[in-house]
Amino acid sequence: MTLGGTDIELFSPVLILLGSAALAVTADLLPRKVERGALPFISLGGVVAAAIALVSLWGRNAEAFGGSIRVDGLAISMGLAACAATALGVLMSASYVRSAGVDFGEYYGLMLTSASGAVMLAQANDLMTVFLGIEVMSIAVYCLTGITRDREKSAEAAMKYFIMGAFSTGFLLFGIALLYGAVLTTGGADGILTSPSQLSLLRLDALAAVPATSPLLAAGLALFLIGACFKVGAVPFHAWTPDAYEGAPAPVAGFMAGAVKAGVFALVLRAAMVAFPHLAVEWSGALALVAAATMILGNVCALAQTNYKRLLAYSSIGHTGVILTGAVVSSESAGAASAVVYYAVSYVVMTAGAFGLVSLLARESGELEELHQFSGLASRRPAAAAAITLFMASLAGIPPTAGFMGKFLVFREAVSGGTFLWLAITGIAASIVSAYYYLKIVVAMYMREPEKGEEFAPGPDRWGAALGIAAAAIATLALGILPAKILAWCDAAIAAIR
Amino acid sequence: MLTLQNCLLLSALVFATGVFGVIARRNALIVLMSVELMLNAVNIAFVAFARFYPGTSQSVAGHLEPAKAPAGHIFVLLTMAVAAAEAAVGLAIVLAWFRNRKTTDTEEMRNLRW
Repeated sequence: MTLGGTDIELFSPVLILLGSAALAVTADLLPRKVERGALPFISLGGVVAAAIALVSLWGRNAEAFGGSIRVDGLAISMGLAACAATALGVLMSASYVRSAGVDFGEYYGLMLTSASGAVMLAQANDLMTVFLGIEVMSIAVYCLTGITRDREKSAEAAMKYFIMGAFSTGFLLFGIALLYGAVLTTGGADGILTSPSQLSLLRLDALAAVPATSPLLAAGLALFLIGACFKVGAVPFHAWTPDAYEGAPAPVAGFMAGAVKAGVFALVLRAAMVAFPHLAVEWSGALALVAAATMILGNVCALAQTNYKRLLAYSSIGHTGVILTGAVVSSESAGAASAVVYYAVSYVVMTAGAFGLVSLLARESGELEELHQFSGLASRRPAAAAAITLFMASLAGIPPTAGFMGKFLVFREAVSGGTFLWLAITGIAASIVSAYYYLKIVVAMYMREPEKGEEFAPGPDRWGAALGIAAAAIATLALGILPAKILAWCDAAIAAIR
Repeated sequence: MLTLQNCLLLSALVFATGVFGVIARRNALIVLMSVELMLNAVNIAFVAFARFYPGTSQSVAGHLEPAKAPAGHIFVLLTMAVAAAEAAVGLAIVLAWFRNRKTTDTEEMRNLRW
């Protein structure tokens, strides 16, 4: 294996993100301090450059570093979803972190590092890169969750997220070790044991040649799936999600909901299509149960929430269930995989927007996060209330929004596939339940009087959050009204892998 | 006897000890140590697989000979580096929490509850 310009070129999106992370951290250390207001612009520039690099690689379908990474439509589309989550996260952070007193370079550095992990994960084509991508992404997010370390809630959220995250890493890694053992003991694909590069033993497609009867393969797959379910917060591995989302600063919560899920779902889709096609019945059956439980439990628990961020966390569990449904159905229909990509992109923009409103409305005294505090918001801040209404409609799946199209595409594939019809029915029922708690917020904003003493005074210059919310709102509407073009891209992205 | 089965059995036992520690122990530092135990159990499995199936590479003469850099060993080095990074971040988070609450008892984490 030799390193060449092509390797660097294919890996450039990750390198650009890491480079701008280093730039953001060092800019803060220079003797004549760079104005801290410049940090969001440096970070945003890095994310945009990485996104451009990803787009310029469209259609390449090439491998780099001896097959460790693969740049194809799936990697690019999910990488772009992660970049979108990061760009929105940086915008939402711009003024929020200043009032929270954490506007140092490390904040942006960590966010960009985590994004680089997510993009690397989307490109990962061997087990080692999978592990590295997940860890780079997760470790940075643990730090971000606890970055407002003087707030007890933030420290506690970081602690819980870290313990559960590290615990799940153990499972994932044990799964990887068993998968590696499965390839070695069964010989894997022809000639792989005599391949000049030992690393090709760890390639995802080497697993497809292992006989489906291998017990090591089955055990490895089970542990691998448990690790992945932990990372996306699927039932019964979801317990950390509400705590982490509620305790984390609002812009971080929006970022991690989008970027982490985009990265891990890219991995799940790639593993499903490339590594375990011969075990499709087994993993899709197990994952279908997880998806159903996730949709039901996420949406039912959200009904009881009184905290806006915690409600969004349970809602994100429900959405994870829908994306998992798409991944399950992808075992029998090609269209479901592109529906997953579409849904992931939609989920990134609407969730970033919904959490962005907390950043926008945050006051000096703290975040506006209890639901009763939203009463009468529409009379004082009509634009913010309208934006919340749009994002809630999208999360609930009401047309003409991104959320509606995403759910429609996933459930249509499930219905036409036939095997998982029951999953589609469960999902639609859960979505109807979810409309109640999303609309509860809208009703409070428009039909109740503001609480005594609640002025909804705008925090100091919130241009970043306002800009980010506007961008997310436009994207949410665009994805809902003009889905054909974007769906065609998603189809093209997936077609290259099969 | 140093066989693959025994090595994997040891690995599974150490892993189970780690899982038990994370679930049952209340001291955050012991939980951190248990997580490290889980990762080290995985290292045992990796090394065992790499040791008993060293892989082969085609030499110039066409003979098969043991490979010089098995993937399992490389993975162990990577895991150790990542585990070190994770431990550093974990200790920092425990410290941040300790400064708020003056305790490392995980049962005391009850600010966030549904």
